[in-house]
Amino acid sequence: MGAVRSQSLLPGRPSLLGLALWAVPLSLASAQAALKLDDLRTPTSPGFVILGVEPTAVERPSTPKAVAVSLLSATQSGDLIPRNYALEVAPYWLARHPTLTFEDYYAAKLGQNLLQTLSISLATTKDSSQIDSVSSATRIGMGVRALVASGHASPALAQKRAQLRALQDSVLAAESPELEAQLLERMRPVALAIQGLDKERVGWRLEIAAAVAAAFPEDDFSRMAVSRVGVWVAPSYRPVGDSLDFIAVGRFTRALNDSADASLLDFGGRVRWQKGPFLFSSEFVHRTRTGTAGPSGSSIRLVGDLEYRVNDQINLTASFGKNYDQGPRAGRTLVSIVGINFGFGPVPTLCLAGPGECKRAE
Amino acid sequence: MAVALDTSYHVGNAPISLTIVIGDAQLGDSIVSLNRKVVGQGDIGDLVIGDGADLRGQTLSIKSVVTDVNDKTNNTSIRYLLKGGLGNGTFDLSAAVPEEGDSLIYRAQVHFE
Repeated sequence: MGAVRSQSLLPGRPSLLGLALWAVPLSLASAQAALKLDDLRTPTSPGFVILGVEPTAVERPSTPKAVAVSLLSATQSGDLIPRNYALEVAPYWLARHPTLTFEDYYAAKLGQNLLQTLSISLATTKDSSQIDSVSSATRIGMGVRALVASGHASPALAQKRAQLRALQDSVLAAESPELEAQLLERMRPVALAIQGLDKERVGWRLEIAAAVAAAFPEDDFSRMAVSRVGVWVAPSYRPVGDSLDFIAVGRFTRALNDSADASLLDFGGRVRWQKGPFLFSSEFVHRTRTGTAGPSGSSIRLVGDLEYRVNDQINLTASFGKNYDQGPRAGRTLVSIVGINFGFGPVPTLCLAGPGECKRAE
Repeated sequence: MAVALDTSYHVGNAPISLTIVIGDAQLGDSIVSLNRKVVGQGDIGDLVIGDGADLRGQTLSIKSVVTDVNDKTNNTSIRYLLKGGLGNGTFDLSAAVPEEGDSLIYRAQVHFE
């Protein structure tokens, strides 16, 4: 699914023009399942975060798909050519797991949970970093993340499972292929709803991540230098029976370039509330910069977001607030973005099955 | 779309039991019949089919439907575990669904010898 965020319609500084695309799904599925705004959102990979091009500073921990590709274009010149790329892989889900039951998946203990949620990301960008001083370079970020705690099943899961079981019973009783096919088609929206409930877990979730960035000044491979490392934790909590999320983040990032020796320590949080087609959120992050290059000090980011789901494929977004007053953006702290997200399918993924196993819907 | 298995299982005199495991964190449902008589349905765990001596020459039929409820993979798999007989009683079937949320029907026939 894709997202195009337009130039800001509000007076002020030029805004960020963002283009985010998932890998194109196998087909434009016509499932009737309700689409949550989270389905249209691109989880920020650590590879993007370490390069300083993440769209939000605080994200609710999410689980990765087996392979996901995201393209994020950040430019102030107004063109739509993607400049930044990220590839995220969840190694565990590239293999089959014939003894992993649905119950085992939801009740996974620490080690199994880390395996199930581990993802490795690789990102590139040609844009200037917000932290270090290397310009005119290609930067590569590599990161890993996993969930230490994944929360508990949504209260709605039991009812959906019962609904699916009833349909499955009907399939088992069906004696004609035509009736089986009709019943299988009726099961799909229920199955997609159950998939969606995995993102609606309640209780505590805790994500840990680490990443490293390297720069290639003037795109010269021989001049590669590790420019930044970072680690972070992101706990979140969703109360039972609510569409409210409380998310916190603690992140430490250190630039290793001799001319830009700086460390950043971020602490912050985000509150999100979904009501029907509307999603309200607000984030606050306090950043402390220390180092020998550039001024030390603290700065804050305070941004409010509003998203409105127009339909299954389109949602409108608006962000307004104050960004950090440090680094290359010192003095240019206004955040004012109005945008449109386009979705090209309800749940995009790359098909990793063998030839002939991935078919477009008729 | 259906995935099929046709195999045999050597039995002795001890009771034979069947367990069906739905893997890849998917959800499934099964119906088990012995000579067209239903002997079990739903989640099948240690379902006693009968004594081996009584089962010799008979055929166990299993129809299962597995639904893709895991958004991290389109793989589905099913494992049939037969215990009480002679030799290896583990049979694995797997296939990927073409679209998110799709379901597959698995059919297995086991001839007791």
